[in-house]
Amino acid sequence: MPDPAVAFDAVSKSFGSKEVLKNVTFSIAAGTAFVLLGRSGSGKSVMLKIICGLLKVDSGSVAVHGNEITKLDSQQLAETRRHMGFLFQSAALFDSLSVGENVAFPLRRNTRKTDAEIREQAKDLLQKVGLDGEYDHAPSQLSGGMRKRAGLARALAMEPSILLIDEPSAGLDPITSTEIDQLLVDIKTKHHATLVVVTHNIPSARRIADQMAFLEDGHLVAQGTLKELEQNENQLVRDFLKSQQAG
Amino acid sequence: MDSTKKLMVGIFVGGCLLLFGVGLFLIGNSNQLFTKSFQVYAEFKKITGIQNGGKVRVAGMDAGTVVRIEVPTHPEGKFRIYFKIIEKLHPLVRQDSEVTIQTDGLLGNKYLQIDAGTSFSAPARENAMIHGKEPFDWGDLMDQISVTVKEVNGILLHVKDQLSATLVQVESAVKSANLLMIDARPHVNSILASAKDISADLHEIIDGVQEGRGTVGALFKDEKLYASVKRSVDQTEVAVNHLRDATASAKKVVAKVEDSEIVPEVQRTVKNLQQITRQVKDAVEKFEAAGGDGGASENLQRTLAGAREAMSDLSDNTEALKHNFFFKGFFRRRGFFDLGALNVTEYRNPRFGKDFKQYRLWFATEDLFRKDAGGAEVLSAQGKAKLDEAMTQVLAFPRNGPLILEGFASDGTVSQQYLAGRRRAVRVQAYIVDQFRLRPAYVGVISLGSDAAFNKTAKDGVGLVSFYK
Amino acid sequence: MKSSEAALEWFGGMSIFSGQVLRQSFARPVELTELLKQTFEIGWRSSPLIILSGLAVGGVLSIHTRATLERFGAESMIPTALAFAVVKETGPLVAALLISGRVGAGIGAELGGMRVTEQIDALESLAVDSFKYLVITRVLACVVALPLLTVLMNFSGLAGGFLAETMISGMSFSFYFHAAFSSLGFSDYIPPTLKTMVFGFIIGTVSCHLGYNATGGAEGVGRAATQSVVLSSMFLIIVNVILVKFIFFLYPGAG
Ligand SMILES: Nc1ncnc2c1ncn2[C@@H]1O[C@H](COP(=O)(O)OP(=O)(O)OP(=O)(O)O)[C@@H](O)[C@H]1O
Ligand SMILES: [Mg+2]
Repeated sequence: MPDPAVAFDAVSKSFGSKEVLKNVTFSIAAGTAFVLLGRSGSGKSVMLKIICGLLKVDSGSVAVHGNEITKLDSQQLAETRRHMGFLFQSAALFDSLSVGENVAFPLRRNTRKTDAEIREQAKDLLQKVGLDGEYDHAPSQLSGGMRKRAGLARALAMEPSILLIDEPSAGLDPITSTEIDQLLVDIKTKHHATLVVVTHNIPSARRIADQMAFLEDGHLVAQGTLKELEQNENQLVRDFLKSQQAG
Repeated sequence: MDSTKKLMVGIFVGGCLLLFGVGLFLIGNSNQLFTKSFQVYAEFKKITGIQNGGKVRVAGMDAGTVVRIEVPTHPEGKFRIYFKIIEKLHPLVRQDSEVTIQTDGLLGNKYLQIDAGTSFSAPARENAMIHGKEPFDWGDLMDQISVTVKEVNGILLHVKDQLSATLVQVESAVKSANLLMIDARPHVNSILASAKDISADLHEIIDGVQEGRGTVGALFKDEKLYASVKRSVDQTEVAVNHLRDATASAKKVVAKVEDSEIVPEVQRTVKNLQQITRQVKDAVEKFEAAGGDGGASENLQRTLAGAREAMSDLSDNTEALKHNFFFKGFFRRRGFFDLGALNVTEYRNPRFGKDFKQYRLWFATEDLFRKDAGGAEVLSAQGKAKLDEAMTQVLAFPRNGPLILEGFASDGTVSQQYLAGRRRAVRVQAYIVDQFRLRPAYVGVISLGSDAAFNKTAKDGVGLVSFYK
Repeated sequence: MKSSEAALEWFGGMSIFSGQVLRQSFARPVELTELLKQTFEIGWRSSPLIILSGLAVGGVLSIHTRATLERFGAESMIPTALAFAVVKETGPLVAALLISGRVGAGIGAELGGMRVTEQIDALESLAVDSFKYLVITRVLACVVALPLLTVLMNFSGLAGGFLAETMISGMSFSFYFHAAFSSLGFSDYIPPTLKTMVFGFIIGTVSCHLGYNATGGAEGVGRAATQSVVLSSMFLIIVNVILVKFIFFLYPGAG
């Protein structure tokens, strides 16, 4: 049995007096898509940042491909991150760089490719997320949804083995959203990548998820496939899935 | 990061470094770092603010810097200032060059000035000493002047001795001595008197300037004065040297200082003195040669008259000296030029003593004087006591202004009144100067005859007016 | 009581941050491209400001110096007096204050903005050491640029002084610059110029610290920007006093 891509063991995290994660334990098998559901402010984004090592846990341990992320030195952490892609909820494009250069940035930093090759590859990535022709624009010239997609292109650039995606379909129309979901599924299957996706969009979750989990009050109150969650004894979980379906 | 940006960073960094280098070069250049130079030193008792890195000028040209200053190890020692001079100016720096400490402008930095030496002397060697001339000092100048004045006095004494000797010879040689002596005496006396006057004047100038040292400092606050005072001082120094040279009986021919005001005066003075000596000698010789001839008396009289004329020239000259710029400040500060020369019009002028407060005392003739056997007025014991008492009051005031004795007399003609008044004042003057050790220059006499503006009823007596600040 | 505690806490954080900057400044690899970019931003882009201010300050100083020296009839000392004033104190300090205004605020706002919009997290997630990438490069660029800008300030100050002087008295260019530099020693020129590296370090670390650790959204960014200017100017003015004393201690002649 290979190491799970991500494994939380009794993880707690709080900001000041506010407990966001309380003794959370779960794992994500490599090559699967894990969708994290939960109400706004429940701590989903915090969880992604913990996986990436951007936030330190208060107690418990987090392992990525079997390596405990809290115990890595900066070099090892950087190496681990090279195999991760992170789409931030706010896209977090670098204002000082053009859209294309944002996408090219990880390639310039981490590969020895020529300038032309990098440009070419960045253009390909932009095309994949439907942003061809936006290479030289400034991030501030893009719409929210476009920015999100550019952020995704940047997260995909290094062909990561773990993709941390914070609300891929936020601000996207249903058609574009479907295309993006398809892209993610393709990447998962093609590169055998592990997806950790936070979303409020249930149709999107249905399209992507192998496994789902529902975060509520610091605990993962439900975990399993879509079918299992729809049968969950927790009323809130069932309501959550239904309400979105209707909408 | 495109290439134009890189270029601009290059331009920025390179350009600024270049500017920095230019600064370094300019500083290095002015410190003669990049030119060949040689080092010498000079010693001074006082270095008046010269610092390491201070400028060195050779004949006015920027030529180097002070490298190091060694402090003396004992009070009698001298500061040793090492400095570098650019090689180019080496030919000017000779073993007989002289180093002085100068100030750049009125308030500027101190620097070393090296005067070009003479061609007779070899160029200064590396690490050799160059003679350092101590900074100008008022005290030194005063010392020099008093030395000179002593010499002048010596000459005057010499003249006097010669005259006395002459007169002795004259007395013994001439049969009709009486007649001749009566003729000659007034001339001789007046020569001696004016010689005395001159030496007193000179003394007074020296005293005054010495006393005025504090105010001389104040002079420097006035920038306009600064330049001219500095010139005057230089001239005075030169003049003093000339005077000394001249008195050392013409050993040297002194170079003429073209635009000097004082030098010609002093030179003339000294020449006159020498001339007098010569004339008196001639007189004696001629007289002896004449050997009791009837023309001798006439000859001697003419000669002595000439001498007197020369003497009064000298006196004029010192008078001019008093009005010379350099001393003017002193007399002006004192408030008067010369009480001896005070005349009634001047005295009556409200400007006289306008800066002073006055304290007046009146003494009637009968209280001061008694008649002696010859009928002349002399101070009585009672008068002296009165004066003593009055003076103790007067002396309670600050002694910073003149004391004037006004003589009054109402008998006889106007000129008799004048003379009698003067006599009375002079008697009192002589007494109080002697009794209270007053400085004669500060005690003046004026005869007002019967013109008693001060006291309409009492027209015979002496008024004592003390001016003070 | 609370605010003084907070101030002490802030100062402690600042010291740790400076220590980190010092340690990491020499750690390899160097973010060279970013360093060049920041040198461009901080150095080249500040040059017009520095040159113009230098000309103005030099001109004004020259006019004042003239008014004073004229009274003593020492007009010929104007270049010397101006060179002393500009090179020893005015140039370094004015340059540093201008840069703390222009660059300090810029760094505070830029890093603060990056922090609150998760761009710093994004950098980290892309395996970039954000501290080295953002902070070290900016501090180093400040340290490098400030002495260079000071030189620029000194020369434009002297040029401004020259323009003002030559308009009044027609003094010649070569006389002016020779006179200006002839009374200066190396100790009047090199230490005051190099001391601005410390100013650069202060401007860089203070504003990077405030920006890098900004919290509280757009308002927090604004605060970081303002405080960067206020605190870095304040620190550099205080440190200047110490440095002047220190330089005087090392080179007593430079007083
Ligand atoms: N850096 C932080 N400092 C303090 N509190 C934080 C920080 N980051 C997150 N929190 C708090 O943690 C809680 C969880 O935040 P998080 O961003 O994970 O929510 P979320 O589940 O992603 O919500 P949403 O669906 O709206 O994005 C929130 O209450 C938030 O206030
Ligand atoms: Mg979130």
